[in-house]
Amino acid sequence: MPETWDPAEFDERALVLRCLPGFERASREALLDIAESCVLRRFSIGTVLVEEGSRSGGLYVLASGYVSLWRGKGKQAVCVGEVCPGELFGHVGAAFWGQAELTCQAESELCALEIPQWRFRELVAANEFELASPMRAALVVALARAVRRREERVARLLVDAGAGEPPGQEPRVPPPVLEADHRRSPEPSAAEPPPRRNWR
Amino acid sequence: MARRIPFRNFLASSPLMAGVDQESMLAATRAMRPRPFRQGEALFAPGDGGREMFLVLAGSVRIELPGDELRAPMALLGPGELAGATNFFDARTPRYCWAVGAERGLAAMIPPVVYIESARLGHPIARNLEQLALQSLLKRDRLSQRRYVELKTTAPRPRWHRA
Repeated sequence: MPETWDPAEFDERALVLRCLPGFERASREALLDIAESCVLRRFSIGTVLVEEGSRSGGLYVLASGYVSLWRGKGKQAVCVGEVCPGELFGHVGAAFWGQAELTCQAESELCALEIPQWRFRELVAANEFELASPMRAALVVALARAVRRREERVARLLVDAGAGEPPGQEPRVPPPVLEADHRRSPEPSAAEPPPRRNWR
Repeated sequence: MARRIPFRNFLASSPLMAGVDQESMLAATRAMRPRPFRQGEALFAPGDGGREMFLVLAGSVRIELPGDELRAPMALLGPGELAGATNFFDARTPRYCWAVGAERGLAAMIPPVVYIESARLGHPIARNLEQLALQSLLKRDRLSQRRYVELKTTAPRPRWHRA
């Protein structure tokens, strides 16, 4: 049962953290402990918060505003998703694969809580269940929502491209196997931010 | 005749039970149900109300998304991978895909109560479930990004979009 709490007892950082799914069952002490190492930041429209290929940087909880996610650089950049308030984004790739896999760009004035990468890594791997579990659960939900949105788009594109299959049949092209890929990519090149596009 | 391997033996050797003591493993195994499946048999379908998660123990499961009349194959999950993690952790999300047996196999059906109870007790099963779900989703996230970019940059546009 979540404990009752008074918003006046929390600073703004803990309140933003509490919006994350998974953190609603976190204790007051756990919230304050994690919030201690976080910083609330404001960004103007067009700011690149995370650059594809970068190795350092934090994770963000979006408190207000709108963020777009890009893969590729320059004219080859493709918008692969978006982040809504209350969701987690940022250097997820850097924490697991060694470098950021997407560029995150502010599409409006925004406010986000930055969780330093060292703290995030510590939390995800920790055995201290009360601290680590909400963080892992929040990341699972953020990923689940992102995967769902993107897979639905991929499915539409596949069906439009004539690659859909009637139910109950063996696929003509087998679905890709989820390979265990722990490769470290080469040193990131001098990054060029993706061009701003009116993609919505 | 082939010898049948008990469900609990399959589970005991799965990553879900890594670092779990015998007593807790038995208690968790009692709450889970074996779910054998045949090729083409659906473990769940879009819109299903269930929140159970399926840990593939043997064989493989294909994830398919609905199109108008066709289905789009999205991923192939093997032993140790989880199907249904999206709405297990996020009650707001109903099932949006099919999980269909790609070949004959066995899955463990994990009801949410296993996670809720383990999390309440701070038990390693909850940690293992979170980590397995994280690994599964990170790979699917990466895969879907690549496929989306590939399709966006190579797929022919529908005729009404052509100049």
